[in-house]
Amino acid sequence: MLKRTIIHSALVKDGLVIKLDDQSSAEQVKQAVFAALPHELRTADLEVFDEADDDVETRPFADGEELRRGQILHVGRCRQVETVIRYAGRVVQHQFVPATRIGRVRRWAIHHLSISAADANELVLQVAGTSIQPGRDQHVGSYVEAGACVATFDLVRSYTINGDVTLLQGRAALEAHLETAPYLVGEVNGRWRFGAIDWPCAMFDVFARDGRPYTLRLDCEGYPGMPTGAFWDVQQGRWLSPDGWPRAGARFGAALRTDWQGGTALYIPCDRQSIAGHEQWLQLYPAWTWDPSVGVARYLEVVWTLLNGDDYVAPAA
Amino acid sequence: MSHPLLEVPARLYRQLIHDLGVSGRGVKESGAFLLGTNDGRIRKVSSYLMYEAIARASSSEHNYVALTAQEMAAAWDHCYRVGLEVVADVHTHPLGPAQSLSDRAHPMVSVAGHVALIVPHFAMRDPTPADLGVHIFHGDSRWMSMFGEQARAAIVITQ
Repeated sequence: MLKRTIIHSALVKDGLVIKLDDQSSAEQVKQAVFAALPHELRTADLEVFDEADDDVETRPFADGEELRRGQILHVGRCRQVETVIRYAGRVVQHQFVPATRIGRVRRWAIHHLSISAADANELVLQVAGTSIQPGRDQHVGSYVEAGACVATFDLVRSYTINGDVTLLQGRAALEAHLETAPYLVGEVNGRWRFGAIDWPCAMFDVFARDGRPYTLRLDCEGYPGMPTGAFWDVQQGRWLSPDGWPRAGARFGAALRTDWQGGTALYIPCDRQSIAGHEQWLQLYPAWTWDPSVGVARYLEVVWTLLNGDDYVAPAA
Repeated sequence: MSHPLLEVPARLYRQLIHDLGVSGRGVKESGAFLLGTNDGRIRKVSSYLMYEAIARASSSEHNYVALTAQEMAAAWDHCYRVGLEVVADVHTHPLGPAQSLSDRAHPMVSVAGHVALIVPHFAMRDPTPADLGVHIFHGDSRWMSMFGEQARAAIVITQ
C-alpha cells in the first residue's frame, strides 16, 4: 500500500512529498528520496533520517509531536546539528539530531534560558542574520549554515512595545488639533496664540478686549478628552493670584470665580474638573461644552468670549 | 528590597542620560539595552546599546519604544559579538517613572530578575537614580517596582 511521506531538507526549501510502499526497506526509502531530489543535489554524502529516531533526552520538550515511522523524513549531510540559541547575550546550545522539530528546540531553549512557559508565549526562533522564523514542525537540520553542521537562532518576540503610549497619543492629538481650522482661525484673528507644550500641560495666551494677554495653562491628560486649567503667572511660575484675574459682570462673572478649585480651574462647562457635579451645564450651555472633534479651540473660544464681553474688567494690578 | 541591584559607572550614567534625551528630543520616548555582566548578586553595566542604533526605522516611526523581531535579533547579535549580556533595559516616559500597561506586558528580557529602568520627563531634567523607576521582572508577568530612596539604593553609581 502506498503512503505519502514528507521530506524536509536544507536542500529543498519547501520540502517534498513522495509516495512510498509501506513495506519499503531502508535502502528502498533512501533510493526513493534521492530520486525525488533534483539531480544536481544528489551526492554520496547525503543521509536520510526519520523523525521517529528522535533524541530521547529532549522528548520532554516535544511540542505536540506525533512521530510516526516513515511519515516525515529528513535528508542532509549532518548527523548532528550543533544548535545555538541566542537571547539577550545568553547562549544555550545542544547537539540535536537533524530531524528534530523546531518546536522542540524552542521549548528546550526556553527551559534552559529559565523563561517560564507563560512568558515565552510570544517568543519565536528566528534564523540568525535572516528574517526567517521557521514553523514548529520544520526540522532544525533544514537551517544549518552552509558547509557546517551548525544552526544559529535568535529567540525574539515578533513585536515589542514599551512606553506610555496613551500619553503620547494625547499629545499627538493635541498637536493635530493645533493645525485644524477652528484653532487656526482664532490664532489668525488674534484671539489667542500658542505658548508651549510641557506635556501633559499646554500654554496659550488668550487676548482680552483691551489687548491684554492672559496665559492659560491647560492640563491635557487624556486628550482629546476634556482639559482642565486656569490662568498662569509666567513670571512666577505658578497659578495667577486672584488679584491678577480678569473680572466680568453678571453674565460671565461666575465663570471667572477665583475661589473655585483654588484658582486652578475655570468654572466653565468644558473644564474637566468643573464639569464634575455640574452635568446640567451640558443642557444649559451646549455651545460651551467640550467637543473632542474640535478640541482645545473650544476651550480657548470660551475663555476668549469671557475676556471680550462688554462687562470685562481688567485687574487693578 | 533596598540592596544594590545595578552598578553603573558615573561617566556611563551621564552619557546614557544625555543620549536618551538627545534621542527623544524632549518629545518622544527613547531607550537602550544596558550591557554588562551578572554574577547573580549584582549586575554591572559596562556599555549600552541605544534602540535607535538597532531600530532606526521603528525609532523614527513611533513616539514610543518599538522593536521588530529583526531589530531585537540585531541586538542579540551585537551582544553575541561583544560577549556581554543584557543586564537591564531603560526607556524614557513623558511623565513619571511608573510602568505603563505595555511595559508590564512586554518585558524586554523575559527572564526572572531582569531589571527595567524608566526615566521620567524624556530624560530632560537631569535625573538621578532616585528619580528613576526600577522595575524587577519576577516572571509569569509579575513585576516589583521601586521608586525614590529604594531606586537610589538599587542603582549604585561608581566613580
